[in-house]
Amino acid sequence: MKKFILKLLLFVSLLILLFGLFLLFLFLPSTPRASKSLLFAEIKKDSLLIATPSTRIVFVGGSNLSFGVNCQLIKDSLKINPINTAIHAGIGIKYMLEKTLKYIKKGDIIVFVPEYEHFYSDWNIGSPELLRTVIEVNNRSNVNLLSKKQLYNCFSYIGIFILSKFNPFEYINIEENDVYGVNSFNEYGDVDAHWNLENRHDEITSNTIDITGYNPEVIVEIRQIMDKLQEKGCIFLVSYPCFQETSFNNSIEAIKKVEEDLKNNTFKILGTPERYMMSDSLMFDTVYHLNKQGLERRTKLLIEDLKTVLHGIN
Amino acid sequence: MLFNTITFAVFSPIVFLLYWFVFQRNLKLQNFFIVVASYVFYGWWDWRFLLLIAFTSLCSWVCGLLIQHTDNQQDKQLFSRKFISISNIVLNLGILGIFKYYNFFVESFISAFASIGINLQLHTLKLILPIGISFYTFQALSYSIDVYKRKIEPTKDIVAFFAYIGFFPLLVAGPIERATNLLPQFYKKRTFDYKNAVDGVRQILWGLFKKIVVADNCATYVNTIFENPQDQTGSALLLGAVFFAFQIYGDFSGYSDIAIGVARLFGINAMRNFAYPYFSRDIAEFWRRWHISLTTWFRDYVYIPLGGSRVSKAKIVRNTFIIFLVSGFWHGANCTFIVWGAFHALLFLPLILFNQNRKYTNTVAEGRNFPNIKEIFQMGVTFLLVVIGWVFFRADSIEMAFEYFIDMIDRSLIYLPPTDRIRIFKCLFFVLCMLSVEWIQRGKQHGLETFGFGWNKYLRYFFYLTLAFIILIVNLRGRGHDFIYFQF
Repeated sequence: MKKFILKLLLFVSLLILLFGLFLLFLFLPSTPRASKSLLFAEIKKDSLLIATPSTRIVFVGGSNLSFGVNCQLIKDSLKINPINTAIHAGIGIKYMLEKTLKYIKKGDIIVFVPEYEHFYSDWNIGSPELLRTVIEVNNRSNVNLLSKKQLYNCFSYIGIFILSKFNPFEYINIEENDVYGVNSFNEYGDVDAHWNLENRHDEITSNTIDITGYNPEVIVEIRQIMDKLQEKGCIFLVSYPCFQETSFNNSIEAIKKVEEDLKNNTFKILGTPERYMMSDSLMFDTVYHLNKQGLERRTKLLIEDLKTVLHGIN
Repeated sequence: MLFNTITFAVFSPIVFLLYWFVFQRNLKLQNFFIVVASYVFYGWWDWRFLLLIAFTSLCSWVCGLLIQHTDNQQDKQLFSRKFISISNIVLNLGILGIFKYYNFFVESFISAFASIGINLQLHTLKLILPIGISFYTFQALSYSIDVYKRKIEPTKDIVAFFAYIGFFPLLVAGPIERATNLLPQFYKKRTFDYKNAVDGVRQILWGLFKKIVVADNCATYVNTIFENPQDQTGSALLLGAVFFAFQIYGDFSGYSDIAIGVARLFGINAMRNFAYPYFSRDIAEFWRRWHISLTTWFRDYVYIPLGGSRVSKAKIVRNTFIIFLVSGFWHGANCTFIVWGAFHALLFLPLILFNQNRKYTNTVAEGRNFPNIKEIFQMGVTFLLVVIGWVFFRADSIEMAFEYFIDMIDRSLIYLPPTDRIRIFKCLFFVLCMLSVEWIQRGKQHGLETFGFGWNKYLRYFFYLTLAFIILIVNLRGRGHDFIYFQF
């Protein structure tokens, strides 16, 4: 028995040692391919948040926003300075909002547009993209913004993250992606790299969101951050993402649940889910990414809704 | 509590140390500790499940005592042995039926009557299906039937009996133990066997590899395919079906290896559940190697009592269909499982009718390193048939399964799927690793029983360490996929 326990302990100790050594690779610099990914656009977007003068309208959300609005049209129409901070839904809404809070000024209008999936399962706390953002993009300076749950969640991606640094394809034949690159954004933070490209409908797989995974904590988190933003003298508005019609119809029950809960929590809401449902032909390459024609239509709707709500507030 | 979680990694060493160092001196106390630990393990999901398992255990234990009591009162019997035994079977199957099948029957009745224009007002129940209910119910049934058939003496030791039904490594997904094998092990003092324990750890390691590395990797691809089959190319559908075959094998046989390995650490020898089924040369051999504890359960308690194969041809056909349909239905309240059972019955029938069902009882390519062309062909055809069956098993409905096959037969079948190629190669790599090791070990109880024994000792330890490291890295998510068979 003693021999068995000692051998087992030795084995486990060696395993822990090996894992400890493995963790050291976390501090390796980001790979050339990763450095060109769109996640690194956060640095530029943070500068926009610092430098853009008031009065400002700040868009926070996932790629439904980065691929879904034309801020120039908003600026021309509303005569306020837009900043599109959206990059990737996988960063999670908690981090997106907490980080925005750092740079917010009195009088800012925050338009928060989460993807529907953020309300289901635990996607709100982030995925591998959050780990890369915190470790590589911000050089660990924003680790303090993460909750224990998020830290634990990030830890679970460490294996995949470190192994990616040993992937030879991360170092050879590096070309920035034509759409998903660090330089795919315009001066307001909108992705404009795809505006003149052909649709990539063959890459679209329609979604079905299962209502059973609804996570009521998400609304609570949004409320908490809304309170903090309002304390800072901001206007906090929530809206619905542009969503492919087929996926919308597949997920109608799950979408209604989100709508109902947002309404019950007295958020100031722009539009309805149906209003932002977009025909399949207006999508670019995913169920949330609009092509040029689609994003112009969505921006028009957003401007109308913003005018209505802001008029009511003033 | 899942085997592939940190919770279990903390729970099991504590139970192990207490079991051998604190409770070993007193057998009754040690058995009682097993019951407590098992109930903590099971109650971790939902403490309400404990009431049901305790009730099932108590009823079956009392049933055994009542049967013994009637034996002792030769002249005046209030209830016959048969009556008591049947009552217990009805009670256990009744509980299983309510929790697992009630809603299925109600919904089927409603839709059947609706099709002829009658609207029935029947209500379904909002019940949670207790994890592993089919497994421990069958274990309880095996005891009552064996006592009735006088294969085993009824036990007066309620603690040993509760330990037999609830023994945590085998509780939620088997192997479904027989009272004749497991119960007597709780009567005897267990001694720690170093070699058995070390081999148990190797078996756990191999089970974790199959579950976490092979099955969970395949699962991510398979789920994508089966969630939106209409959007996939023919080759993606084919790969989805093939990877599901390895997912379910890695998942379930991996669980069985972990369960058997953990049981061995506690000095308990559980029955084998898998014997490399994908190296089978025909369907009959496949069924001797797949989910052995369930297959033999049905053979002993359903097929043989019905007359088995020593009856007329017509009755052989009937018995074969009954056993496969019941086996399908055991997996869940869905027509897809019944069709899966019927499909296998059709494949099995010609073999049993022409007395070919026991043609291959030895290990394939015995005494050779590689199979010959004929064996490769036989294994390939058997695997292909099994994969066809798995599509019915995995599909949400029979219509979906048929559409899946129709969409697969497409020109794109011969081209590599355009998306997810890295994931496909990763799955293929891990599947090939698993198959290679298991091919080498195909005459052994599990994949690591003697694998690497010819190597330098340190190289072998390095291999184990690497395997454990890969499992750790892949499982860092810490919330690995559930085991598929928990739902049954």
